Amino acid sequence: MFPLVTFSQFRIITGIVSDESGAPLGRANVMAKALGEDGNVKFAMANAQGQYNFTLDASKAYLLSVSYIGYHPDSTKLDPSNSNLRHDFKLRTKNEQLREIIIEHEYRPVIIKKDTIVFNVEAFAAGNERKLKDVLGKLPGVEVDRDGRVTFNGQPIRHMLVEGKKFFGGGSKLAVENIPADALDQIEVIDHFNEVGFLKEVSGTDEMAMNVKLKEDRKRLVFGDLEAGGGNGGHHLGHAALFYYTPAHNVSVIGDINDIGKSVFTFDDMMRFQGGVSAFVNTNSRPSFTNLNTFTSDNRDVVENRSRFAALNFSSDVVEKLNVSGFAIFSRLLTDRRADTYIEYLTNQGVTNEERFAEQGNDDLMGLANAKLDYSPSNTEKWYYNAQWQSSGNSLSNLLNSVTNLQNSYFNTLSDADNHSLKQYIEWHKAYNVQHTTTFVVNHVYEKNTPLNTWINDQAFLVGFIPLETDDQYRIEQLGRQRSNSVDALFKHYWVINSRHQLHSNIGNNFARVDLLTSERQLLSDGSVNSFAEAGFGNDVLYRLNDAFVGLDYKFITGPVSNTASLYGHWYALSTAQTDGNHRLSRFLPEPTWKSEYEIRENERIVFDYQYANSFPRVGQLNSRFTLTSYNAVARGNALLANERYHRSALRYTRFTGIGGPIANASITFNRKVRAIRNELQFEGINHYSMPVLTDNPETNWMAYGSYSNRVAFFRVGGNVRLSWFDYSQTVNDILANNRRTSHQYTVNMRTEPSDWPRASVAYTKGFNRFRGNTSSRFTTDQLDASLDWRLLRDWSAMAEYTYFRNRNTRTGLSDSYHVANAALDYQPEHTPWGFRLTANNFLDNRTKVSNSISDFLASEQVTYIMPRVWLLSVRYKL
Amino acid sequence: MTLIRLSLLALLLASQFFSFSQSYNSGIVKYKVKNTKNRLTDNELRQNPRLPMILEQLTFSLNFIDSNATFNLDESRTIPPEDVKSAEIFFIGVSTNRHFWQNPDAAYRVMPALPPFHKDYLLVDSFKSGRHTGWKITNESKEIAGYKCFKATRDNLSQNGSGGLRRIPVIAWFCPELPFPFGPLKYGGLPGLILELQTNTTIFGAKSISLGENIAILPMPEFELISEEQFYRDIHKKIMERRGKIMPPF
Repeated sequence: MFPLVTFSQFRIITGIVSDESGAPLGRANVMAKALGEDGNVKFAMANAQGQYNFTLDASKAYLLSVSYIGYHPDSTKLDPSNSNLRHDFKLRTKNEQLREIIIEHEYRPVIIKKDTIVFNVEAFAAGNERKLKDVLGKLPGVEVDRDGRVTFNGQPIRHMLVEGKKFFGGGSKLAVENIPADALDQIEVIDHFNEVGFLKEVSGTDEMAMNVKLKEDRKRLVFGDLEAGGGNGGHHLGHAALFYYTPAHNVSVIGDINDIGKSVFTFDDMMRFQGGVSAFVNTNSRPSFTNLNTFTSDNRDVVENRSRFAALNFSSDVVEKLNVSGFAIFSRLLTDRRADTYIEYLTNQGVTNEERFAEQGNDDLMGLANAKLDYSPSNTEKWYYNAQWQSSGNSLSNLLNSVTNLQNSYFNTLSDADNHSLKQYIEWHKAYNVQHTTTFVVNHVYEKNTPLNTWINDQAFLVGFIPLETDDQYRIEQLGRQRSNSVDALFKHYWVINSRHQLHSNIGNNFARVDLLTSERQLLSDGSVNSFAEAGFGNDVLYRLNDAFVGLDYKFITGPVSNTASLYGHWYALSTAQTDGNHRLSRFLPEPTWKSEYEIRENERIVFDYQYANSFPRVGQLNSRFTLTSYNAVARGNALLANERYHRSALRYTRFTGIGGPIANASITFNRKVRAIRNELQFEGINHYSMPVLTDNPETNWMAYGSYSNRVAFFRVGGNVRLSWFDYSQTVNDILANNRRTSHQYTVNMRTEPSDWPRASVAYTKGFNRFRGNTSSRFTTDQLDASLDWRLLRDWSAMAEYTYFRNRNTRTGLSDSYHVANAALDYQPEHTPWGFRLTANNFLDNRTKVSNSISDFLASEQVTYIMPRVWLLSVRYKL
Repeated sequence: MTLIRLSLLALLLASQFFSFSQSYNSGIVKYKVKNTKNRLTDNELRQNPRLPMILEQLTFSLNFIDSNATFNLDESRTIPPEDVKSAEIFFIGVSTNRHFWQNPDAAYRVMPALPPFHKDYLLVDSFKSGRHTGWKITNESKEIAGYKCFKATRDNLSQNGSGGLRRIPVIAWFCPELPFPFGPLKYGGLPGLILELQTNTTIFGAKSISLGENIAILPMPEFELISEEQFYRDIHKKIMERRGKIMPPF
């Protein structure tokens, strides 16, 4: 590591504290207070000879002062300067014989908020750790998993901050894997986190945040690392992570090129990037087109994967009280996939089988930029403005061979989808006094999606469903355009009546306008066009949904239980205008919710919540004309649909007693739609046609989860059970069937616990998947996972993981299995910036993976071709 | 004898005469306590409702000279010893009829020969690192008897009987003008004397400070030194070995 600038960023102040005659005043306490708002105080204790010294920030002004009993205090102002300074204090005697000091002060205990725990890294780290991830593993109660997710006392850390500011949107994987360990000073874990400090009392979330504080002399340097590697078959990898931090400005850059399927950020990080929408807006009602899923997981379930990724994160205190921050991401992902699928269509017409052999190439390009302004005119007022622009282009080319007992056809599907979106919001928070706080939020989203799909086949398909004209080659083109604009506004007033009662009032309006255009046509080989419009295809829908609401939340504490009772009233107005006619629907609907939290004791709690709510159909469910959705499917919407109504309730229990103690977790979730929208299907062989209808047949979903683990000798042993039941009814070919889908999974696992042992873990899961309706289907699965993380010697460490999976179709008796193993060997000698790593992915060279799934009307088994064995040798250089 | 007395007196007079340097390097600080637990469902309070009143009558002394200090409960002539004992255990959390020793780096106390170890130990609780997160000095300040005091916090980490992690927050108000890095119980190492200390059960408040006393502190016994962390780790290990239900004394 080297300082980036030529003058030093900090300075040393020394001196001697003595009395007038020069006799030293040993153990005098000298205080340095940074001038300006939020001035930190630092202390230095003089030694027996009266000498003190400080390491201070060169760019700040300080007030240096000393007070000593029996003497007049003295102070001096230090201007910002790069040079070291010597300042001696000569204190004048106070002429008082101070022998007995009587203190009449009334000491009153305060309530100690347990929300923040501060760890001094020095006290826990050994000094040989490389990254934040390694240091976190040494803090009591903190655990980091393989994907970079951090938990404290069993609870997930949802926000990652560095020096108080979000790091790449607050996700943890990028932070824990890149921030160097030797730059760390303190780590804070904050419970009930709210970015706006003064909102914690009223709107403290259940979420935890972690704030990393850097050492004073690491606050102005460039640090990071570079990695490059090469392996068999031309496989390569290049990675750079560079950071520049100062208290006022910071920039971080991460770049990655690899073709071994390694992911750069996790699903949680992705959810953060999907943001750009205020946390106060219900994001479930604003689905997005951009699918960032492709960038998040280690994707080796593909034959080939080439990824280029670059991300930039910056934050700057432009002027006092105003901070500008943002991040930008650019990514290009090229993947090649191959899969063979065996499908059983579960209709009452008997069993229809299809075999699909597919090869697909994807080219996904994405650019994303986010900027945020944070303005705090005072300690009790805050303004946020956040804008996010996102553009992505996804194109794919798919070659599919579909084989049934009737025919064998080749499809070539080409798809090009461009999506652009702009999201922005403005938030204003103000605390008037201890009792009253207000929040105002306006959120705007604009999205435009233009998909272009082409299906090419040498034989006619979807005969009877689409109006094909006979030709030598069939080419169907589908054009689409969807533009949506939504504006959400909310005004909230928080009233803290006393320490046990709070009343929150809400008023707001959510408005969305979408226009959807689709059209299909056949391009004949002589150049002419056969439009499907006359056969009922093609849509031009203008959709508008307005939700004006008023609500009250009443928070109250009864004994050890804290409760929130809410009642909201919504005036919904839905209107659609399309070629077949206009429809309008308006309703006034009350929506109550309840939440109770009982903290039995520290680290043990029960949470119960209940909600009754409505969900209105989206534009894609309301279009009254047909669209082509796949080579074997045609769909249309239903303009007469109204809202779904559902009850949702959950009961959750967690208990964590830390290292060496039992950890227990149980939850039951219940979901019941009393009015639901479900697709009605009409099948003919493998082709089907679907239309959504509103039904009063209830849909019920139960989910139960329980896990328990405890320390036994040197291991943590445990198990978990995951059960779910889903009952719903569906009309297929005009016959109503009552269906039930169940899934049961039982796992036992074991892992080593002592931190000085190698980390080894093994888990076995047995699963049962079942579908019962007018037909039935059953799969059982067995899965074995084992992993090892071992620090062999001081500089060497090894990692290995193994998965075995077996799938058995109970009806046919056939079973399929696969296993995959990965390993790595790492050499990081102490005191040098170089490191080496040998990675072997899929070293057993297994070529395929098996999986199964059951949907509304089909059961399928899929064989996916995966990346063959990859050897890679990579070199790291740490700055 | 008289000669010694006379010379001592002369020395005393001389020191008064020549006391241009008023750097006090010794003194006695007296503390009083109050309890902070106010959960009325507390079994302990119900069992002995006199506890808060007993607490009011207790006085603690912090004696210091140069870089050493001791902290202990003063003997009482008015309260029966069993009541004192129960007050200590329930509210202070530790029996204080023993001494705590402090120097600017660490606090020490004696762990007498008790099961599962049958040897006397001197437990060292370093102020820099140990079963706690280290002191964090904040910007907050307030005046106590005209002295400006600053707030420092730290979290103590401990394991309860079944091995779970507990964190106990501690708040200390220290005064840099009083250059004595000591405080009640095992808390010290701050740039100034701790005048107010709040744990999760009790609050200690300094009531009087007598400076320049000619005092002698009890020397530390010469037992084997072991860090608090190590000691409790060993105890925990023994517990795990035996799978018994022994609660550590603190």
